[in-house]
Formats: sequence, C-alpha cells, structure tokens
Amino acid sequence: MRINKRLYKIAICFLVIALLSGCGTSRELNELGIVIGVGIDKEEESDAVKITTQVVKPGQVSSGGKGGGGGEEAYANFEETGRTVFAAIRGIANKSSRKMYFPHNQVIIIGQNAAKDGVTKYLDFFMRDPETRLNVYLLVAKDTAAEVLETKSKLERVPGNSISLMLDSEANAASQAIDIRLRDFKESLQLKTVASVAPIIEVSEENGKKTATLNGTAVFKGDKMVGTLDKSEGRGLMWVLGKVKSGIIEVECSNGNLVALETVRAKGEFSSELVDGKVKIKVKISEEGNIGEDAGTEDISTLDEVAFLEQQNADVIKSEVMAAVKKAEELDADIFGFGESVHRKYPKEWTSMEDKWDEIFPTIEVEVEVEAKLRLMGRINAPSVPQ
Amino acid sequence: MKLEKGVITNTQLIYLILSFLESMVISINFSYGISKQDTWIAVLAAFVITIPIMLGYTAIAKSYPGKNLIQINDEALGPYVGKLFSALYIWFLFELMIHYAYFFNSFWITYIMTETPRLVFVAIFILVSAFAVWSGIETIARCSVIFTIIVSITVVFVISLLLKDMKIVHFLPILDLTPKDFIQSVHIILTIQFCDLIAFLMIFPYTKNNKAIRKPMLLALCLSTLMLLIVVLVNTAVMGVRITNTTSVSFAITREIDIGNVLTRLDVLVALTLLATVFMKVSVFYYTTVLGLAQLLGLRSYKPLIVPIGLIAIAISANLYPSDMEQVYAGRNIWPFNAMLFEIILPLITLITIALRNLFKDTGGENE
Repeated sequence: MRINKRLYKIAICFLVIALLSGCGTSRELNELGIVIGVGIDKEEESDAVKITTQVVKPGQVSSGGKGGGGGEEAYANFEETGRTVFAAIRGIANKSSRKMYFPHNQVIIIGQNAAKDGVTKYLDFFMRDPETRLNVYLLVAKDTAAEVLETKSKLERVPGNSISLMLDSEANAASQAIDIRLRDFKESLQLKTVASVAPIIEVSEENGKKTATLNGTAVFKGDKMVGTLDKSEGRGLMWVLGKVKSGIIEVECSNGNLVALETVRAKGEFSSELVDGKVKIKVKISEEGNIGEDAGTEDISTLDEVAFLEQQNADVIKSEVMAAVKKAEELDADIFGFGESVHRKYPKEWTSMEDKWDEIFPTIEVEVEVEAKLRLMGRINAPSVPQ
Repeated sequence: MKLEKGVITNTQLIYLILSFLESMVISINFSYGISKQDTWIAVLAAFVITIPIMLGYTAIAKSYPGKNLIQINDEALGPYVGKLFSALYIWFLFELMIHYAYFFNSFWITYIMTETPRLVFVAIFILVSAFAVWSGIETIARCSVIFTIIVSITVVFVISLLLKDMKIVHFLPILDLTPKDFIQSVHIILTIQFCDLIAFLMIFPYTKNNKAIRKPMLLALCLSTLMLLIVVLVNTAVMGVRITNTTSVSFAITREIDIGNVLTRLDVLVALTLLATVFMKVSVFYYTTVLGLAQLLGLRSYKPLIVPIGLIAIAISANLYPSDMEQVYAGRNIWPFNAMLFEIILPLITLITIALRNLFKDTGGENE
C-alpha cells in the first residue's frame, strides 16, 4: 500500500513533464525549419520588403561525410515579400512545409537599399519576437542580401553558418571588419548621437566562382546608412573602441624593406574634455605585437631597428585612427560615441550641446596617442641568408 | 479561537520575507523605463523611506502581540470601523494576489509558453498555491527556505556568467533625469516592491517569538534590498540604454549569456526561478486573504474558503486587464496611488489610534 502510494507520486511527477511545453507550443525537431540566416531587402520600385530565410535541411547536413561534394545542398532559401517583415516571414508558410524557427539564427543581412531606407522598422521584429535572439550577427550587403545568402561557401555546407564563422575568425585574425551583434546595434540605435556601424559583405567573383567576402564597414546615421569605411578605416574605428584582437601591420624598416608585424594584444580607450566650451578627445591606444615576417635580407632584431619599427607601427595605427576620424567627420556620423562620452562626463553642458552635436562633431579636436611595443621575434632571429 | 495552529520560527520568518520580496526582481521592470540607469539610486531611496514605514508596521504588531491585523483592527478601531478596515485590507491582499498572478502570467506567455491561454496558466498556478495554503503557514515557510537558497544561487550563477558583458560606463551620467521621474520611480518601488510587506501583519502572530519581530523583519528587508540592488546594478551594467524598452530585463539578460558558445540559452532556468519567487508571493497573499476573511466572518477554519477564493481569483486574474499595455500603464500611474491608501494611510490611522488610546489609558490611570 505504502509503496503503491509512492509509485503513484513518482508517476505524477513524470506526468507533469508533459505540461512543460504548455498548450500548443510543443514542437518536435522534425517539424522545425531551423533558420540559419535572414536577408532583408527593400524592393526597388515599391516599398515592400523582401525577406530571405535560409533554412537547414537536417538530413543533408548530417550526411555530410559521404559523397564529398556534389549532391544536394544542405540548405534551402525561401523568399517572400510583404509590407512588413513579420507578414513576409509568415508568408513563407505558404511555401515551406516547416514553420520557421528563429532561436538558432546566426546572421541578419540587410540589403543596401533597406539599409539606406532606415533599418529600425526592419529590425523591430527581431527585437520584439520572443523567439529571436539578440546575439545574432548583423551585416550589410553591398548589393542585395538574397544574393549573399545564395552564395555557396567553399568550406561550410550552409552559407549563413559560413558567414557567422567568417566574422568570428576575421575578428581574431585581421580585425578589419567590425563584428556587430544585434544587441550592440540596438544599443547604438537607442543612443541619440552615436552612429551605428555594421560590417559589409559583398559577393566577389574569383575564377568564375562566387564568394561572399567581408569588405569594409557601413556607417549609419540614425538608422539610415550614409557611407562606408574601407578596411583600414574600419580597423581605425576598432582601435579606438578597443575591439582589435589581432591583425597584421605592414611597415617599412629603416632600409625600405617591408616587415609584417602581428598585433597580439591591443587596448584602446578615449576620454573627452571640455576646454573653453570646445570638445577635445584624447584617444589612447596601447598595442603589443610580434615580428611576423621580414621581407628583406637585413637583420632587424637590433635594438635600434626594433625601436624604429615600434615607431613605424605606432604611426600606422595613428594614421588608421586619423583616417577613420576624418571619414567620420566627413560623414558627420559619430561612430566612436564621442558625444556619449561627453554626455557621461559633462551631463550639464551636454543639454545645450545635444541638439547641436551634428555641427560640433566635425570640428572636434582628436588627439591620438599610441604606444606600440614589439615583444617576440619568432623562431628565427634573422633572415635565412648568408650573413 | 486560533485559526492557524502552525508556528514558524523567527529564522523561517526571515526566509519567508526574503522569498516574498525576491519577486521584486520582475516587478522592478515598471521602473526601468522611468528612471533608466539611475534605478539603483531609486531603489536605495525607496529603501530608506521603507524603514520608518516598517517600524510603523511592527509597532502596530507589537502593541497587540499574538493578534493578527484583523483582530488588531477590531480592538484598536472598535467593531464597526475595525471591520470596515479589515474588509478593505482583505480586498487589498486579494487584489495583490490576482495582480501578481496576472503579472507573472504575462511574462510567462510572452516569453515561454506563447500559445498557452492565460486561463490555463493562471488556473494551474492558483491551484498549486491553493495546495500550499491548504498545508498551512508552516509548509509555506519551509518552502521559502528552499526557494530562497535556489534563487540566491541562480542570481550568483547568472551574475558570474555575465561579468564579461558588464560595462561601468552604462551607469553614467548619474542622476540624469528629472525630479518628477525620480520621485515617480521611487514611489513605484516603494509601493509595489516594499510596502506590500503589510501582509506580514497577518503572519507575525504565528511566529514562535512574536515580540521580537522587528529584528528579523529589518534584517530580511536589508538582505532583499541588497539582492535587488545587485540585480538592478547588473541589469543596468549589461543592458545600458536598452534597459528602457525591454519588457523583462532580468530574463532578457540571461538570454545574452554566451560563454564560448557552450554555456548559453540558460533562460528557462531563470524563468523557473522567477516562477518560484512569484509562487511564494501569491501563496502568501492567498493565505493572508483566506485567513483574514475567515477571521472576519468568524469561521472556525480558513480551509473552506480556499476553493471559492481560488476560483474567484482564477476568474478575475485571467481577465484582469484587456492588454499588457494597459497593465504597464496601470502599474506605473494608477497602482502606486491605490496601494498607498492601504499601505500607508490606513496603517497610519491605525497607528495614531493606538497611540491615542495608549495616551488616554495613561492619563486615565493618573486620574484614578
């Protein structure tokens, strides 16, 4: 009797598990269309928005090993147009056997037209819906997002996955395209004077084969794209924000040969100051690097030479930062958040500056201080030539 | 005649108050949109104002040791006014119960079970609470010990995983808001978060040492304010300006946990913790409502009232507001004033009456 009662209680505990999914929210893996990438394009002639969702085909992904190339693609792209993003996404239900499932979405790509039109209205769904996540990567396509999602990757089976992995590895290797997640983008959209940025992805053609390539950074003013930064300006921005993780800097050594220096560690920060009502920004960057390659024949490991290379290195970093500042001032877009730092430091003075920030920003004085250090020389200490 | 035979220790009382106040973690969401990155200052200000109010509550309880709010009202204000006051308090406790049930339900069907009808969730929720109330205050107090520990561990766990996402600059500039907004935020935190501790005037008589309630009460208040403060600081440090338009911040930040793509998607864990805290809150209000009503009606046991009150609560709570937008509006603009009547004005009248009675008793003694 007693054991029966206990068994009865245990049985109830297991039955409760069935309630965990609530009413109707229960969905099995084989009913889900797992979205890996989303493209948002604005139609040229109308105001309609075209949504491309990239869905994985589970069967094809798991059978990846056999065959080796050829065969069917491991993904399917669905396109649908609508006046709003949500309507278009639900419209895909007319074409797909599975309901779109967003929690595993990895990239959102915004087409050029949509970016220039203003992105808040296109991104609202991705911030509001309970299923979507804010740690998805955000990119801007040089042309259309649909085209980028169509471009097959050479290594990965799903293009959306490839793009997100590419952003990860790019941030750790080159630091020329800023990696922006939707949550960072949302924050900069909500700050009045901060201009949002996002990496640009384009479809380039090599030997007749299309490849998706990261190239530069898109600059938004408010929520409209107003310009772009090239690769070195993009890295200039990342130096200031302290987001550079690694990268290669090419400098000339004292006799003119090229030397490649690898950045291993970098820190960047800036502070604002008000001098007689004028804004002055002090950027401080400290970088540590190694000698990565010596393209000449001279021994560059002498102390004098190292000091020279460190100076050269600092100059390159400084010029990259100044290029980014110059471009930002040209576009009148505060991509660094200088205004916000003034706001945080001088809240009283800021009230009168806030509305005039567009006029103030191009005139502010930026002072860059770079401290570059070389640490290691690698496995050889001089080029392999008869000395 | 004693309706509740159970007795809880004063340590259990601390845990009970702690777990009762822990649901502040979700009701603080009303304030973020108003006081932005300065919400933590508003929490501190509200805490400072709460202390004298709490001393007032305990003064009421102490002048009639062993009696609950309903009995105190009868003795202090006379049978007619006292009964009126008691009825008002019971209505308020009931209102709090259905509001919390609705409030948490909104969160749950927004984030977790999006297709579940309100009624289903509320019904199950109230049902479980009814079971707790049926078991009595001892059981609820023992639950609270477990829940407090679980919630504290979760908070520490979540915070340690979010350390790398916190930015100190998100707090700057400090006090960048109008005085009106600040006062409104403090008012909301005071009335919605802290002062519904008035429900404990119903529970104090059932503690083992019901003369020494001031210390456990203040200790629990300090500890839970500390926890709320930490949660608010972490939320602000992680979210920055995004805090102003996120509907459930404490939950939203757990979605941002990402440790090397491995430790991620922990949100349901936190949702269950929030469920536990709100369960404690609703159970305490449920219990005090039926206990008070039984006392008011002169019943021998409060148990016959559990089912009818529960059914009424389910019916009202499922249809409390036509929309969440209206609920947020009410939470920010109407509820704080409604609650002030029950949490500050009525207890103040009771307290003054008690003081006057004592005064006359003393002078009367001298005359004799």
